[in-house]
Amino acid sequence: MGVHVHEMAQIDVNGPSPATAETVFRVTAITKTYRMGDMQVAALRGVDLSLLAGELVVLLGPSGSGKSTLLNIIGGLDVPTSGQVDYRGHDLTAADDSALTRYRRDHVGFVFQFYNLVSTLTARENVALVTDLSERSFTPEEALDLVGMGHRLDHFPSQLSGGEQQRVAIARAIAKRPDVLLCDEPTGALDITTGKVVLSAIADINAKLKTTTVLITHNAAIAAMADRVLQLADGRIVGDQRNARRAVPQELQW
Amino acid sequence: MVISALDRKLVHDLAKMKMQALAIALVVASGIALFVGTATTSRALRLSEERFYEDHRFAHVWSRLARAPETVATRLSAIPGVTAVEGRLVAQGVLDLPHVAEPATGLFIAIPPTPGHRLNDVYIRRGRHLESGSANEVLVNEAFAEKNGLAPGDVVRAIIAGHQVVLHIVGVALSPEFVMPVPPGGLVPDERRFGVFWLAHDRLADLLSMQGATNDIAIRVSGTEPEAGIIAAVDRELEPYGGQGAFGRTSHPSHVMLEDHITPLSALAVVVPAIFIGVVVFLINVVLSRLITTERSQIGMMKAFGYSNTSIARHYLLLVLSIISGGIVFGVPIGVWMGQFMSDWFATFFRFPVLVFRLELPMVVGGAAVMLGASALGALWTLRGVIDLPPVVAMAPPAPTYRPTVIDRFGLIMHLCAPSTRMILRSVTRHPGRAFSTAAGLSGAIAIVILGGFLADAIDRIIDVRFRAQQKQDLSVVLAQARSLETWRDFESLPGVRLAEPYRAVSARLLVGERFQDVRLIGLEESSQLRLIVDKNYRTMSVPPEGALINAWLGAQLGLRPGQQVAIEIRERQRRVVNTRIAGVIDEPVGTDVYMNLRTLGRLLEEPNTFSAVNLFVDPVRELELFSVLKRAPQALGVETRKIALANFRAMPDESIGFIRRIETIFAIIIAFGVVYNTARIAVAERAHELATLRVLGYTRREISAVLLGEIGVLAVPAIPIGCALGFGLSVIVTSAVSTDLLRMPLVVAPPTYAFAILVFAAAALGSALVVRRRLDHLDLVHVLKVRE
Repeated sequence: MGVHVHEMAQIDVNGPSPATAETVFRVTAITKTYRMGDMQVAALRGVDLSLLAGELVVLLGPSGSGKSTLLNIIGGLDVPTSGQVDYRGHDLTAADDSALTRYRRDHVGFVFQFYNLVSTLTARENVALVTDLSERSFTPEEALDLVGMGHRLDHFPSQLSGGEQQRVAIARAIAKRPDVLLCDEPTGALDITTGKVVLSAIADINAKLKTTTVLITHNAAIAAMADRVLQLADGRIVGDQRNARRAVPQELQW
Repeated sequence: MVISALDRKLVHDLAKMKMQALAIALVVASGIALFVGTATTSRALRLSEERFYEDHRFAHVWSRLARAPETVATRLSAIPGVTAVEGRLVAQGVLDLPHVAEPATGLFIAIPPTPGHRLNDVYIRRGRHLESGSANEVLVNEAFAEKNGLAPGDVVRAIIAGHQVVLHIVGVALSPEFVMPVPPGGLVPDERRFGVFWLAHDRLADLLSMQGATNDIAIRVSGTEPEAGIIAAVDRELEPYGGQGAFGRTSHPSHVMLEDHITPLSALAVVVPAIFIGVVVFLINVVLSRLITTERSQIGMMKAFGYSNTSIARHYLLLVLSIISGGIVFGVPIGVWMGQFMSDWFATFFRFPVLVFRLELPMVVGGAAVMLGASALGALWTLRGVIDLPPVVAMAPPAPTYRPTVIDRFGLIMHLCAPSTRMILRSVTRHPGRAFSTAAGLSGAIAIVILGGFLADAIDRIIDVRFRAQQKQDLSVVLAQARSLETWRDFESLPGVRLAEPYRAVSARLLVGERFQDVRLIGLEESSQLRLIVDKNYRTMSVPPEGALINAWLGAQLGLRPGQQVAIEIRERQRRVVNTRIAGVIDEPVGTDVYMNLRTLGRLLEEPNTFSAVNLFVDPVRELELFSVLKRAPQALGVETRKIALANFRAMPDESIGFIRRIETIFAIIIAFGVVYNTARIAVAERAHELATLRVLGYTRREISAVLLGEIGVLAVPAIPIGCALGFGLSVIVTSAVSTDLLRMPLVVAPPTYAFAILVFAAAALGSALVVRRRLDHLDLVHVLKVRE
C-alpha cells in the first residue's frame, strides 16, 4: 500500500494547552431547525462551544444527534436558525453567501465520507483545484506527499483504492494550509486497516501543521485519538472531556 | 382502485422532472399541432376543390380553336369516354378601369342565359344570373370585383375585338375554371388587373362576328378511357377548324396553380413534423438515459424484489408516454385551431363557394400514434442496457470510470489548462457518444430554425432572378396578332418609351414519345437588353442562333439533352408539329419557357420576321400618358407591367408559404429552447456532485457556473456549424418536396437566415443558462455531498 507513517505520529503528542491556546471558534447558543414538509425538525437545540487553535476534537454521537449540522455550520456550509458563531472575531452568522464562500476558500478544509473527488481529474489535479485558489498553499505534490500519496500523483480516482481516494481528499483539504480541517465520518466507508491509515494522516497533519481539526464519528473507539471529545445527543452537547493522552491511530481497535 | 407503488413512483417522477417534461411536451405539442394544422388545411383545400369541381361540373379537357360550327360539339360527344361537350365563345380584351392606371385584361366567356346543366357552371355569390334579352349584362368574377370595388349595378368599359363596349354588372360569380384567376399567358393570379366576365352568348357572337360558331370547347369525361386518347381524338376532330391542341386539367392554369399550393402544403405537413418527431425522440433518449443512470440502483432493487423486466420497462415507458400524451392532448386542439384559421384564411384567396373543413380523426390518431410509437421505441432502446443488468450489478454503484482519454496525450496543452477546463475537456472526451448526441440535438435546434427561414430566402432569390436579373422592361405589350418586324419601331414613338424590343411568345407543347409538356416559346433578339436569359445562380446565357434553349428541370423530366432533336407542337391558330435541336439548357427557377432566336422562331412558325409582343423601357414621368394610349389601342391584347407582376408574384408565396413559415419559426424556437434547456438541466444533474464539491472547496457560484456552462459551450460551439450544415440538408429535402412545374425552389440559405438561427440558438442557450444558474445557486451542498455519487 505504500503507506509511510510519519515519525511524528509515533510521538506522544499532547494538544495545545487550554490555558494558552487561542480560541478559534466561539459558538454561542446556536439552534438549527429544518422544515421538512409540514414538520419542524430541530437538529440543534442550543449549543455552546469553543474550539482552540491546533486542537484535535472528535465529535461523537449517534445518527441524528446533530453532529453534521454543527460541523457544517462551523464550516460555513450552513447557517444556524439562531445563535452566533464567531470565527476569530468574524461573525459567521452575519455573513452572506459570498462571504461564506470566501471563508471556506481561505480558511476551511473539508473531508467527507464519500471522498467527493472529481472523477475526471487526477490526484494532482484534484488538489490543484484548491491550490489554484490560494496563494499560501502547498504545491499539489507537497500536499499529496504529506498524506503519503506522493507516488500516485497522476492517477485518476478510479485507479485508486478507497483509502487512497480519502487520503487524496485529505491532501486536497489541507493543501491551502486551512485554519480548520473538518472531517465528516472520514472512515465511514473504509475497513479498519484502511481507516487507521486515513486517521493517521489526519492526526499527522494536525500535529505537523497545527491545524484545528474536528472529526465526526459515531465510532467511540476513534475518540481516543483526540485531544478533546465532545458528545452530542439530540441536538445538545452532553459531554465534553479532554483526553490525558492522545492515542496513536494505529493503536485503535474497533 | 388500488394504486400500485410503481404507479405512485411514476407520479412522483413526473412531478420531480416537471420542467423538463414540460419542455418535451411543448415540443411534442408543436409537432403535432403543426402536423394537424397543415394536414387538415391541405385536406380542407382538397375537399373544397373536389366539391366545387363536382358540383359545378368542372371540365376535364379543353381546346381553343379558330372557328367551328356549333355542331362540332355533337361529333365530339361521340368520342368514347366523353360524357358532355360544350362549344362556346371565349375572347380576350382590354379593360378600361378609371381608377387603375395600367390597362387591365378581360376574359369574356359566353354562356347560355339560364343557369345549370352546363360545364364549368358559375356560382352566383351576389346579384343575379344573366337575363335573356339584356345584351350588355355581365357576371364578373369575385376576385376582380373585390379588388376593384365592383358590385352589381356598376359598369365597366372594355374593348372586345376592336369594339368599345359598356358592360353592366348584374352578378358576382365564382367558377371552377378560375379558382385562381391566372391571366392568359401569365404565371400567377392577378386579381386586380385580370377580370373574367360571363355574358350572353348572342352578344359575344355579335361582337366577334361568330354567330352559330364556336372557338372554345370544354369536355367532361367518364374516366373509363385514357385521357390521352380522348385528347388525340379531339385534336383530330378539331384539326380542320384550327384547333390549337386539346389539354387536360394538368395544363389548366387555375387548376395547376391550385395544385401548386396544395401539393407543397401536403409535403410540408409530412416533412416538418417528421423532423419534430426526430427531435422528440432525441430528447426522450437524453432525459430517460439520465433518469435511468440515477435510478440504476433502484432498478436493481426492484429486480431483486422480484419485479419483472416487463413491469420495470412498463414503468419507464408509461413515464415517457404520459409526457408525450400530455403534449398531444395540448397540441391537437391547437392544431385544429390552426387548421381552421389557415383554411379560413386560404379561403380568402382560393375562390371556393364553400370551404369544406373536416377534422379527420384517423389522421389525428395516426399522427399521435407515430409520435407515441417513435418515442416508445426510443425509450426502449435506452432502457435495454439497464434491463439486461443482473440485479446485483445494477444495485452496485457504477464504478468511477474515468480513464485517460485521447485528450490526456496532449500533456502540455492539458498542463496549461486550469483544472476546471480539464474537467470540461475530459468529461466531453470521456463520453464521446453522449457529447455527440448532445451536440447533435443542439445542432438540430439550429437546423430547424434555418428550415423555417430558408423558404423565404428561396423565394427572394427567385424574385430577384426573375424580376431584376431577367426582366429589365417596365412593361410588356402583347398584341392581338403577330405583325411584321418592320413595324416594331412604331412602339418607340409611343409617349414616354425610351427603348422598345420586339419578341414573340407562342403556346407550344414539347412532345417526347408519349410524354409532353406545355411550354411557352419565347423568341428573343440576340441583342435583347430588356429581356435576358439568366439562371438561378445569375449566370447569363445568350439566345442560340439556331435551336432552342430549354429549361433544365424540364429537360430532366423529359430526358432531353443538348444536341437532341425535339418535336414541338405549335398550339396557336394552325396547330402543327415542327422539329428543332436543343441548343442548351437553362436552370431558370420559374416556369418552363423555351428560348429561341426571334428570326429562327419566325421561320419555324412559317411567319418569318414577325413579332407578337414588345418589351418597353419607359420614362416614369410619362408612364400614365402611355397607359392611357395603350388602354385605347385596339391592337393591344394585354399589357403587363413588371412592377405589378412582381407584386402578384410576391403575394402568392407570401400568402401561402409565408404563414406556415412563421408558424414553423415559432415552433422551431420552442424546439431550440426545449433541447438546450434539457441539455443544460441534465448537465446540472450529472455535475451536481462535483459542482457541490467545488463550492465546498471555496469556489464561488460564478466559478462553478463557468465550469458547467463551459461544458455546454464546448458542445454548443461545434453544434453551430453542424446545425447550419444540417439546416442546409433539411432545406434540400424540402426543396425537392415543394418543387413544381411553376417553381423550382433554388437552394439558397441567406446569411441572415443562418444568423437568425444562431441568434435564436444563442438566446435559447443563454435563457437556459440563466435558469440553470438559478438552480446552481440553490444547490443544496450539504445534501448533495451526503449522498453517495
